Amino acid sequence: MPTSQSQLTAILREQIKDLEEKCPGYRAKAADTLARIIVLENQNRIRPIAIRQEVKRQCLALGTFLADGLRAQAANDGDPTETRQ
Amino acid sequence: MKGYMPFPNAELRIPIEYKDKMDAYTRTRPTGGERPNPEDAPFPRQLDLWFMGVCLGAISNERVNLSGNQSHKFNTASMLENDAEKIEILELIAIATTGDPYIIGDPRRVIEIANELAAGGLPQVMQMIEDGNSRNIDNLSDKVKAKLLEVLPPAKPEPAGA
Amino acid sequence: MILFKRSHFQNFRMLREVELEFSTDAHRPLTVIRGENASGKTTILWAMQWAFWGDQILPEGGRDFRLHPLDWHRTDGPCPISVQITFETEVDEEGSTGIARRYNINRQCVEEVTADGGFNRHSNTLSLYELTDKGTQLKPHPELFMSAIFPQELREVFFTDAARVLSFTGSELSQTTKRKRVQDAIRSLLGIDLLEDSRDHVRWVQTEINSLLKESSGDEFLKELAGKIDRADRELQEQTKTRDSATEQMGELEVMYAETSSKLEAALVRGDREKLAGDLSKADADSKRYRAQVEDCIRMRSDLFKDDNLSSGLLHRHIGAALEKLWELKEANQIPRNFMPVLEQRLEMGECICGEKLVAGDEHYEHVRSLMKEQQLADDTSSRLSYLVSAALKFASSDTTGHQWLGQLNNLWQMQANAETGWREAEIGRRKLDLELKDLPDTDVNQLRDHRNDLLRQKERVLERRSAAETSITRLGRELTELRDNQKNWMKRENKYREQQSQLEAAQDLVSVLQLAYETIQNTKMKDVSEKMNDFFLRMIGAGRESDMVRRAEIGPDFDIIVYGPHQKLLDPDRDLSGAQRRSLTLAFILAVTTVSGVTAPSVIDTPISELSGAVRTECLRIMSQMSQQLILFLTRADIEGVQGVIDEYAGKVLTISNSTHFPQFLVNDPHEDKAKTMTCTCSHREFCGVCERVGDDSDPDLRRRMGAVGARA
Repeated sequence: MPTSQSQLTAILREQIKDLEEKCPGYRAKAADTLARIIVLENQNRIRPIAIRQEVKRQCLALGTFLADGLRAQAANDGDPTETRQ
Repeated sequence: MKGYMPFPNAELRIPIEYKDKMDAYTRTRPTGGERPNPEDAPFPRQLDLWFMGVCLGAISNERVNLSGNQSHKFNTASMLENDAEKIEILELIAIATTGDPYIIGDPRRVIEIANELAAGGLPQVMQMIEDGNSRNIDNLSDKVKAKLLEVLPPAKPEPAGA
Repeated sequence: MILFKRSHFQNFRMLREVELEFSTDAHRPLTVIRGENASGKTTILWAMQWAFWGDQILPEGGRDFRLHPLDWHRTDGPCPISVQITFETEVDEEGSTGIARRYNINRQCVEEVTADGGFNRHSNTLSLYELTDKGTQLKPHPELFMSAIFPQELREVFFTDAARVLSFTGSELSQTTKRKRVQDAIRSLLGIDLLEDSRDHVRWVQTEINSLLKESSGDEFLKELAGKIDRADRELQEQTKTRDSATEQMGELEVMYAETSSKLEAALVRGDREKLAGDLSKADADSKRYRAQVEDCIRMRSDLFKDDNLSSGLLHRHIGAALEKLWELKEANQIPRNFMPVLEQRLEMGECICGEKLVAGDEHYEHVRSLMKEQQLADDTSSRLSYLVSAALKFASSDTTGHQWLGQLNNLWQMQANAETGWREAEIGRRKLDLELKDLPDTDVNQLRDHRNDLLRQKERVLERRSAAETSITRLGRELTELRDNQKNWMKRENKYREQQSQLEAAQDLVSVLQLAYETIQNTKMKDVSEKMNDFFLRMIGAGRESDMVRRAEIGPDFDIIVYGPHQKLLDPDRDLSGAQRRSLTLAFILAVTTVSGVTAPSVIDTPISELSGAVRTECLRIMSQMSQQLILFLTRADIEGVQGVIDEYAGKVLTISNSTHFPQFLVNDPHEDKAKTMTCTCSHREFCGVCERVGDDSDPDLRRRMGAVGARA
């Protein structure tokens, strides 16, 4: 129910605190992704959307963020194998 | 005496007005049909009811003469064939009633006397059955018990230690 | 947040033209709508629900449920019916929360009265408008919007009438129904179902990425890994479904098992039908046996009347007299007489005793022979007489045989009396058992036992299935973790898989967080709801002390509302709580679940405190008013008695409704209405006016006449 959205988001942000910061900003990005997913789920209840595709887009975006972050980290660490694909 | 039957064809008779009651108060149904229960019909056979009449007629010394069309033949004396003791009792009653032992030489007369005594005693039998508030068998049992106690001497006491 | 601002009703039963305004004051969230029985309170409740959910919430889906006013005639033409509700919420049609927006929902239909007195309903429409400073804007998909704001599973939470105030605790509901309602309310309000959906959709993304790897990867090992992960994931989902379904089934079986056990116990207390039938059969046999004994005794008594002991006893004296005569003959040697042998001998010798020769054929011989014949007869009689002497002697002791007969009679009488007593007692026992058996409800104890055993076997099977599924889930979880680790490690070695690997990791992280949040809500938030419910409940009923029967209420893991008495004794809400306590429990639950979930929405309740009294009633109202964002209560004058202070403190708006047809029996003033309708006025709980004045109001010390009141707003 939409009116419990803020509570849910608060609970998720609380749980996210234990998530490993795999690259700078990863945790914050994951939190935002989850908040966005919650909003999408609520929207889907009001007006059906292609919820799976929307959620997928969010997940892939987070994945790409992580990949870029790890790549940048590796480059900073001087890993010669790290080249952008 | 087994097998002794001095009056095989002699007729056993009662006054005609008691025919229906005799049927009602005895259990046998010579012509077939449902037998009444003993509570209502206390006498097993018509003979037993007649014999009770003989006994009560003898006790009260009442003999009623039975002429032909005023009486009903319910059986012949041949039905006493296997009841030696009843034959003996009938002969003894005849001797006691007439005072003549040789009356037994005239078997027809013995039965005649018995029929007359029965006719005299039947009203008492009917009264015994019908008077009272209980079932027929209970009324009869009570009255017969009273009559027995009346005529019998007191019972001898049991010997000590018996 | 949702707040009702006002509502307008047109031709909805007796709400011909009614407008209500509700309090939106955060400090005084209570709106009281005062109305006596049949004034339209319940109708308003139905109308508001109809506005949100349509015909489906009406009895029997609204098929035969009249909405038009009862006195609407065919000649009045089609009846337009509408309910409008203006409300405020932070949700828009995109679903995002933010600033408060105002909406107006308008549900309409038309009913036409038919010739046979029935009606046809048509032209059902639902419109949703957003009210802005720039004007009204029609919104698309109003059904979806309303079902998102007010899901149907929360209907009982937000709209509660006097009957449904027991919708979570009522004894007439099955345990399964109550459990489901509690579960649905909690899941919806706490967002559990939303979290589940989110988690499932992210898992799907995981599967999608993995499938892509399986299909498009040139690396055989990776492909194989992806294939294994895919299979394991599918199996995990299957096993999870199996486990969840087994858990649900187990819950239902537990309820059925408990119900069957209860019925069995009750049946055993009332009487075991089979045992009773056995006892009855035995009593019947006893009765028949005693009856047969009685009949035997009677028959044997009848047979006594042919016994020679009787006749010999009766003729005791006559036999004595006959014996005397016979004895005289015997003493005179007249019996027995035996001339026969002498005569026979003489015939044989051929010489008579007088010395004359006896030759066969001559006269003397024949004379002797005829004498012999005569003598034969006399001898026979004499023999008989001689025999009768011994017979008479035997009968002379007939005093003994007579007494013997009496003894036999007495014995038979005694036996009969005993048998009759036995028969009577057996008959009494038999009839008593027969009545007991007839009175037993047709509950076969064995059938119940068999059913219970069957349920136990089913439980065992379901438990086995669940255990197997859980074992599989654990194994598959480990397997998947291992496979994914392998996949991660393999993909790390190859830079070209960095992107997919990161996507998988990200999806996995999101699933983990969502799962943790789900478990937190299930455990922590559920516990919070349970504790809050307990707190509200005990405060409402003034219980919880050592001396009280009710000590604690909680929501069990299966969503049962459980109440405890002293020493942790489980109380049955249906049997051990009063109606008032059960109502309080429902209200406490509703309050708890809305408080913990943070859902700020109105509670509209019809006469919730009517069966409560004294302190319970005051406390209930106070707690509800304190904890609610917006509380709209329908109360009668009797409900208001004793709680005027609470209403003074918390009510932001009070208005009164009256039924026009209650004049002159209840209403003092003639409303001059030709149609039955609900009338409104702004009288508070301490006032009356020309519209709502009822007989007796004038003399009620708690009420005063409202001065300057205008006519009815109808």
